[in-house]
Amino acid sequence: MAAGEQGLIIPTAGRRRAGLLGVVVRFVSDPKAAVATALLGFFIVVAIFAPVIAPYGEDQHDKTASLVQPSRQHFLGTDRLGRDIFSRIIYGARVSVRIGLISVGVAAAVGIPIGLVSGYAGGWIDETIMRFVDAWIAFPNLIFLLFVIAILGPGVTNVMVAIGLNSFPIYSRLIRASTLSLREREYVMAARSTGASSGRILQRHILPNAVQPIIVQASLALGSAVLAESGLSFLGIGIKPPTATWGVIIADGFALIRVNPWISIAPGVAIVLFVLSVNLMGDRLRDVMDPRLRGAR
Amino acid sequence: MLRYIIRRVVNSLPVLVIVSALAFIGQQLVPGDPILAALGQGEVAALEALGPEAIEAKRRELGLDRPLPVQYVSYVGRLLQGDLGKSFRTRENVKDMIAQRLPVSMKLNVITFTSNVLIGLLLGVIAALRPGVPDFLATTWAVMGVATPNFWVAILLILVFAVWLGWLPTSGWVDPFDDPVRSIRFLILPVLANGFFGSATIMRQTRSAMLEVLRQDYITTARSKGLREQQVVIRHAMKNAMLPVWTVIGLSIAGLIGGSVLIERVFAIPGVGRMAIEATNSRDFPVIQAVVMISTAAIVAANLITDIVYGYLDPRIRYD
Repeated sequence: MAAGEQGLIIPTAGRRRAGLLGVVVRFVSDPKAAVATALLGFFIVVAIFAPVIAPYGEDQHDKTASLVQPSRQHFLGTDRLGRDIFSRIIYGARVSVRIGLISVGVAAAVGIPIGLVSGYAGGWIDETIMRFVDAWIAFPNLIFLLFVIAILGPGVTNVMVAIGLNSFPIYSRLIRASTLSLREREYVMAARSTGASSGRILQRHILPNAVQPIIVQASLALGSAVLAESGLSFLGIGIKPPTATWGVIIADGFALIRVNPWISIAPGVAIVLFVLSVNLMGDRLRDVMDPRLRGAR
Repeated sequence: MLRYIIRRVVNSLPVLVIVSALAFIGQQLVPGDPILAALGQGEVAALEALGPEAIEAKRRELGLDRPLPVQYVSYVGRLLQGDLGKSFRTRENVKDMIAQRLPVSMKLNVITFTSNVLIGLLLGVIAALRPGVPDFLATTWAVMGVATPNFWVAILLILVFAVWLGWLPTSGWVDPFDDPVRSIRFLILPVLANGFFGSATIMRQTRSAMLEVLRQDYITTARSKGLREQQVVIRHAMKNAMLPVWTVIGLSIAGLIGGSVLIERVFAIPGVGRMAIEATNSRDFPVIQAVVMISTAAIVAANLITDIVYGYLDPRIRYD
């Protein structure tokens, strides 16, 4: 850290880099977090290279191979239309990971500005926004998703928007809490006294320092988003067949549970592993980034 | 205590007002002419045959030509009178549809909630008192519970207990008040599946709260007085450990209500959740709107009860 004007402590770029490296080293030093990171990396690679990895196409029908049991040709068997389940699960990773990431982005993009304004403005604006956020949180998650899908209609984009809108209040609350404390700091007051606009103060001085809990929340929300998407797709409300998502494949297999249970079991295992890996990573990230939790178990 | 309860009730009201406003705004955002949603395709087609004046007259009669804030006030007025509108799809009164299905969902959720609390508390206390394997299993279950979709747990349970072992039915519903013994067979799997996550979180919180309380000096004093372990745990430790546990129990209700939508689908239970799925698929907005209002009101009521019990358990809270 370097001493700046008015005795303020200003972090230098070099120190910031060292801090970031320290966070990365502490992060991977935990075996659970290392395994979780490797697992998430595996899912991302599978999602990106799905067309290369999958032995068959996402919706490749083969009427001669309908309801084939697990074999060398079809690792997890086939469904009624003769589609290879293993390939569909690989393609499913693509849709699920994309929906997870984008819906987290939507939630952050809506929630962060609302939280910043609420915390910085204070008074009746803060009170009004927070009552609104409280009401939003009172919606049961899945019912809210049904409500938004009923308005927007099904489809990949609408599912992303619905999941994002459902989870934005947590970002608003987190960023508001940080903003409330940061707006009283000397460097924010100094910026204000130099005539900096509220927008500039929020963007340049408050947001970069309030972003830490958001990173942790975003990593945990990724798992919740994938769970929500799978639930909607299972209900036949979110993403419609023939698009392969893990929820759609489970729903397809449910009707065939007596014939080939693997159709429903395997995508469920993929969901659990994916959510588990992002949750473990999120927990570790929180431990590493919050000095109060360091060393605690 | 009465002042505290009144304060909590008053604090809950704005949430319901805002949720009703959101439900109303949602209806305005649905593509298409609002008169279509109010009357249905058949009636609108009949009016169209009479000419545009007939439609405009009907629009005026229904108040759909009035400014949105006025329409919202009239919507809230109708809600307060229990008028939830007509289903866009079936033209049935939504109130009647809800009245038919709500008791099923409520029974399922109350039984799931009770079993979650009992299982969560029991296993949480066991995990705190017996470190080692039970503690490890309980913690693993809690971590897995957060990552596992309840509808997939339901399918696994059906596969094992209904398809492979043939012990329980794959789906269906028998009212516990009609045939209590038979209904148990139909309830076991849905309750376990929807409770997988809820009971895990209650168990985890009970375990950590008990571990914290069991370290306190007054527990050592109670033991040194020669009290039986059972008395120490139930009368001294659990009473104080319940405070944070109660918060988690209250929070688990929202997850339960949302989760029951999926569970009703998997087990073909004729509740509100299944009706909500059908309504979403057909974009039957009056039904969705009613489900949103009722489920949110249930959560607000549950939070209110949680707060009141919390105030009872910890008198300090009442005077904050």
